[in-house]
Amino acid sequence: MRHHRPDASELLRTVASHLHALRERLDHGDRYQLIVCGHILDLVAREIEAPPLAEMDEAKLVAEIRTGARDETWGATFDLIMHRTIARLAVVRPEHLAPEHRL
Amino acid sequence: MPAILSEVEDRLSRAVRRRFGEGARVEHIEQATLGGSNRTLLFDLVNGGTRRRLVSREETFSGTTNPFLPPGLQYRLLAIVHAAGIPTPEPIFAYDSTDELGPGFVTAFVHGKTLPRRLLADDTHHKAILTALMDALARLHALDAGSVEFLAEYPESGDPIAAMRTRLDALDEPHPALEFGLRWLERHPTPARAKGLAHGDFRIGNFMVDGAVVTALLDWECSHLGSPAEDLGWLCTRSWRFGRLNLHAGGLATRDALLDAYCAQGGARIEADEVRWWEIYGLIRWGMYNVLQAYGHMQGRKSPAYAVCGRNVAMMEYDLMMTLKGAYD
Repeated sequence: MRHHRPDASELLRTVASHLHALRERLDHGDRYQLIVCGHILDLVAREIEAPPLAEMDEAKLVAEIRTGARDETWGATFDLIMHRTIARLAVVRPEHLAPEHRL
Repeated sequence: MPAILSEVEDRLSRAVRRRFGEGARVEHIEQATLGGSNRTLLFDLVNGGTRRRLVSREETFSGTTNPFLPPGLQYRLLAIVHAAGIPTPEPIFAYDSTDELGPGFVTAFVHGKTLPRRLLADDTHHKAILTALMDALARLHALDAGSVEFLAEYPESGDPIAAMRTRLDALDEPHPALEFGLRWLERHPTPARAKGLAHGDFRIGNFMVDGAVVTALLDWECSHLGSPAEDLGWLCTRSWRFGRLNLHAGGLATRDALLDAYCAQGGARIEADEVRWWEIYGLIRWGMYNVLQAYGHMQGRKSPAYAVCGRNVAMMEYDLMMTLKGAYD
C-alpha cells in the first residue's frame, strides 16, 4: 500500500526549502545549524530514493586489509571500496563527485 | 563547563578576582565559536584603570576516545612556544577545579582574521603570509624537543599508522577506505626523520592573520612529536584547500612554492612526494575526526553539525581513493 502524496522525499525537501527561506532571520550560530539541518534533510531525501547499499561485513574487510590478506587482490579491493564510497557520497554530497562518477 | 552564558560570566568573574584582586571584573563577554572540540569566549578584563581583551577556551570533548591534548598540557606548551617568540596568544592563566570552568585556559586576544574563505578571497598578501607561516613553522620545528618531552606519551608521537589505527578502533565503526589508505601508506614508507615538535593542526583556519602579518598560530590540541613534513602535509591536505585545488598549500600557493618557502626560512629540504604521503595520511586523519564527531553525537554530545560529520566522512574517503588512484594530486 502506498501513502498519499507527497511522498517522503518530497516532504523532506519541502521542509528543507522552508528552512532555507528562514536563514536570513537567524543569528550566525543558529543560521549555520539551520543550513546543516537543510543539508541533512536533502541527504535523507536522496537516501530514500537511492538504491540500497548492499549488506557487507566491513569489519571483516578492514581486518583483511590490515593483515595484508588483501594485498594480492589490491585492484579488486580498490574497486569494491570505491564503488561503495561513490554510492555513499552520491547520497551525502553528489556535487563532490568527479564528473565521471555522477549519475 | 556550564551551558548558560550568565552562569559562565559569574564564574569567570570569580576566577579573575581570585587571580587579579577584588577590583577585577569581566565585561563584554561574547561567545566566539563552538568549535569541534572547544568553546571559545571573548571578554574584557577590567582592573583599576586598565582594560584588556582576553579569550577563554574550554574543552567540550571528553571521554576515553578523546584524542586531544588535555588543556593543562596545551597551556604548558603554549607558554613554551610563546616564550620562544613564535606567534601565539600570550597565555594568561589556566583554570583549576576551584573555578568550576574548563578544563581550559585564558589567553590574550589577538587581532586578525582566521576565516579561510575571507583570507583566501584577497590574494594581495598571500606570498607574504606564506613566508611568515613558514618562518614560524621552521622555528617551531627547530625548538628543542626535550623541552616538550611530555608530548612523547601520546600515540601520535609514536608510529603514525599505529596511532591512527588505535584512534579508529576506539570509534567502533569499520571504515575500509581509511584502512585501505593506511595499508597503502604502510606499503610505501616515507623517509624516517628525527622527530621534533609538530603543531599538529597547521592549516588555514588556525592562523590568525592581520594584513600580511601572521599574528598567531592557534589550536594546539593536536600537538605531538613528529616529522616536520607532517605539518606541511596537513596544510596541503585536499580538504584544507577550500576549493582552490591547484594551490595545494591551503589555497595559498602550490606545494612546490610551499616547500621552497619552508627551506628558505631555515626548514629542511623536503621533497614533494614526502608531503604527498602526509596528505594521504591527512585525508585519513580528517576522516577519523569526522567519525569521532559522529561517535560523540551518538554518545550524547548532540548537534546537527556533529551528526552530519558521520556522513561527511564519505567526502574524505572519496578524495582518498581518488588520490590513491592517481586521479587527484
